[in-house]
Amino acid sequence: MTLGVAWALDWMRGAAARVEHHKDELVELDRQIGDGDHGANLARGLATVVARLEELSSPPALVSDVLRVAATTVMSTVGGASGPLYGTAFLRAARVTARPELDPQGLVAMLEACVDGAHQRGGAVVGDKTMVDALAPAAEAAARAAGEGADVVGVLRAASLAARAGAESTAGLTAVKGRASYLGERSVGVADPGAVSSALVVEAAYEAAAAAMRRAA
Amino acid sequence: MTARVAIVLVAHASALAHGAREVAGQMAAGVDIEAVGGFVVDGVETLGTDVDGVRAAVEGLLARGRDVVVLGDLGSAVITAELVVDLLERGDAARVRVAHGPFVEGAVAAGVAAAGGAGLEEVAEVVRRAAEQWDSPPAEQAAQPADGATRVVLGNTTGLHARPAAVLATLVAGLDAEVLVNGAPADSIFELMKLGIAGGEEIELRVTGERADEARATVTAAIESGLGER
Repeated sequence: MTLGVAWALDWMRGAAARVEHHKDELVELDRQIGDGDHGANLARGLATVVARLEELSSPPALVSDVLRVAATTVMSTVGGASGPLYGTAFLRAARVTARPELDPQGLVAMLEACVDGAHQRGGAVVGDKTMVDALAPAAEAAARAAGEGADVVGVLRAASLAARAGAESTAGLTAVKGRASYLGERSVGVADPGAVSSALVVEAAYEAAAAAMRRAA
Repeated sequence: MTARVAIVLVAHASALAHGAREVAGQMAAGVDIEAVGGFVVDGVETLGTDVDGVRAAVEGLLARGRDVVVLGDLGSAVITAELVVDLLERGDAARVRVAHGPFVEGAVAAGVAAAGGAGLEEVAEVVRRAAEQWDSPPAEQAAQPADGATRVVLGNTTGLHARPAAVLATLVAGLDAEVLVNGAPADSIFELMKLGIAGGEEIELRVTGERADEARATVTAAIESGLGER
């Protein structure tokens, strides 16, 4: 089985719903170590992505068509660092997904492109207490699973679990990037809201894949 | 005359961007300075940065033939500016620099440099150096013997505060000579302001370079006439 445009659309809807559902939790994390607007901003941005995808005059033909709409929309609708960071991650992902269907290797390439985008835009590496702490382990786990012969659902399940574990690991880290870095040691004990929202988005990709698998069965 | 380098100030609040623009503009006649602050959500301004707004400001200035230096107030403003540069055509991107430096001091320094005819790299560099201006020790040259120095009396009453310092720094930046005022580089508004020179005070002027005599005469006349004030 491969994952195509229908999955990508489902992914975006699921990501918007998940972030909306966890909005208050993200706001609370961001209130403690940031400026307190991450959950609300990202929820609004992803809701706008879904609305724009529904308004498209012709249905997207390629996975990259969906991701490009996501990129440009979050860039324009999410103020602060999250918009450019998520936007660049989606834009990089779009560059490597100009195909109607993605196989396990295609998903790995997409996740790796997301990591590259977030790293390039914000300069963060693993351990800096940012979204990279969720995305980088997700891409690594996906590559490992694909190497072991996992199918698309297995690849995204591995990515999803690793993203969640990575996001949770940020609670123990000291922020060195962004607004939270001004808190220094005081940022320890609170998970990074960007890492947590990234995990939600990766989890949504897995959920959409699992749903596609159930439909196909 | 309009400076060829323009400045875009990106801040998390409109008031912050426009306030910095006002302060910098006071010392940068003829320099295009655009302020982009805050982020509008459903018609209401919130704190944040606006990719589309920054892009429109930068592209507008590029279309008018300016090179552009962009300053951000916080990390996410810098990230926003860098994204905008990445979204430009390659030829346009080469005419834009995102300068990392203190927001207000950098904006003032950039404005003064641009008004003095500085190019893109030079304006970006003064932003980067703007923070160092406060750290540098009081100019040591002031204690050195005054050989070859000229003594000039500052012809205003309020002293070498921001506005006359900007006038002098802009004048010196346009000269083909090195000018030291009480040992401090006179093309730096910050160095000049730190000297704390009072109105009517005698200033030690040192001018070197190929066209030193001409420059010395120009600067002497300007200082004696009060740098635009009485």
